[in-house]
Amino acid sequence: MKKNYKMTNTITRGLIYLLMFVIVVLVLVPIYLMLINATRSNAQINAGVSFIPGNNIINNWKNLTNREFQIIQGFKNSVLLAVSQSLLVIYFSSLTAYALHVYNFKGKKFVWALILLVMMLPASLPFIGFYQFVARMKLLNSYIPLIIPSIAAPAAVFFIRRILHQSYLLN
Amino acid sequence: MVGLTNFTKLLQDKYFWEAIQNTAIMWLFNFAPQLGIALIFAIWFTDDSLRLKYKGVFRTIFYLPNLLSAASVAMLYRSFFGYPNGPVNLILTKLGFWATRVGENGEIIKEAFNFFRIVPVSRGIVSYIQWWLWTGHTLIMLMAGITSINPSIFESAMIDGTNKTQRAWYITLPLLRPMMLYLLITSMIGGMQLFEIPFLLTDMRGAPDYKIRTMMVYFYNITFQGGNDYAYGATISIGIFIITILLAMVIYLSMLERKKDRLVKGEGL
Repeated sequence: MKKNYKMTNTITRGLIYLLMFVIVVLVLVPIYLMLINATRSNAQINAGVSFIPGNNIINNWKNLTNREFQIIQGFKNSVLLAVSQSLLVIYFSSLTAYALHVYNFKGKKFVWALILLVMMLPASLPFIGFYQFVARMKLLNSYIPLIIPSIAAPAAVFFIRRILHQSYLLN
Repeated sequence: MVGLTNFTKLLQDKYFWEAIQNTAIMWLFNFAPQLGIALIFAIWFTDDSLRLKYKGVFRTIFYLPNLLSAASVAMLYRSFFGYPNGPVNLILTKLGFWATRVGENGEIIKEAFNFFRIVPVSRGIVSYIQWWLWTGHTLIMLMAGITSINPSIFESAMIDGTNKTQRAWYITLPLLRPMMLYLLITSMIGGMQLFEIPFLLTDMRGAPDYKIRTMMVYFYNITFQGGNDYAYGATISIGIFIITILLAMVIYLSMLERKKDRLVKGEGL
């Protein structure tokens, strides 16, 4: 009986490993091909697939950097925005979610419904209004309108509150 | 009534209804396998008796696609399924799979598949890319959910003589419901706003035959391409918003009905 149990366990494990391997291949092959394509010329890419790096990477890099596009500056911008936004989102959303989970107060349901409602807004809806708002505050051409709104991140609040529901049971 | 003209136009716009249909189909075919596969893997990975190795490595690799930007992913798959010399076509022709069509003189011509001319295949590719992007994320979320379940519940169930399937079905799944509700809602909201991938995968207008044109792509077409009709574009945005809210209400109400037999506190939306 015990031996039998061990056998089925080994077979299950083998099947799981096989499935894991298939998924790893599905995930990695496209990413690998993208990296390889970065080293090949347009003509080579159009001619067909290859798993061996080409010799065109220097040319491609020159094409990327020689034109108007400043990749270093772009990278700096991304890092600045990503870091500051993440810090603000984590700090303020945790505060909000904790308050909503732990305390009972008047209007709690209303606040929660409002957060959910904002989360469901299509990202494109507030664009024009937001631009006008920022322009009237004379904040165009600065990082502030990109960073400060992440104080209010409804999706993060929703997520952290779900986690609290799951892991931090009251009484 | 000037203010309502756009809304009546929206209700009668058959392209918008078609966009709703496209979005719903592509989201469903992405979400169902995503949740299913992530759930199975999450249950396996949190099962210590299986003694699986390389879980961490697998999770990391599975999460990788999520780190790529959606635009580059769309371009990647566009070349991946390219016609006639994309990698997928080359592999298929090597294996002996050809698309056939009848030529002018009645002879049969063999050629490579033009995937982005076939409606179900194009939709399938969009769903697959979404699956590829998000399943790792879902897996991590579900594993976090399962590991936060109190282990003494599993222990007492084991002492009562349950087997693995029973434990997964009667303990893990019900206690995972808050996490699954979160995944369902966020995936639905994201799915209704699906944009970059169907937009960049073909001709930016949802070819073939507008069948992968999602609501957001339609919004973009109306607002920023061709006519630059900002007013009607805003109306489409409102339409998307209303549909999202309605769907969220449906999900919420269906969860309410099951409230009677739920096990843990704190499931309300």
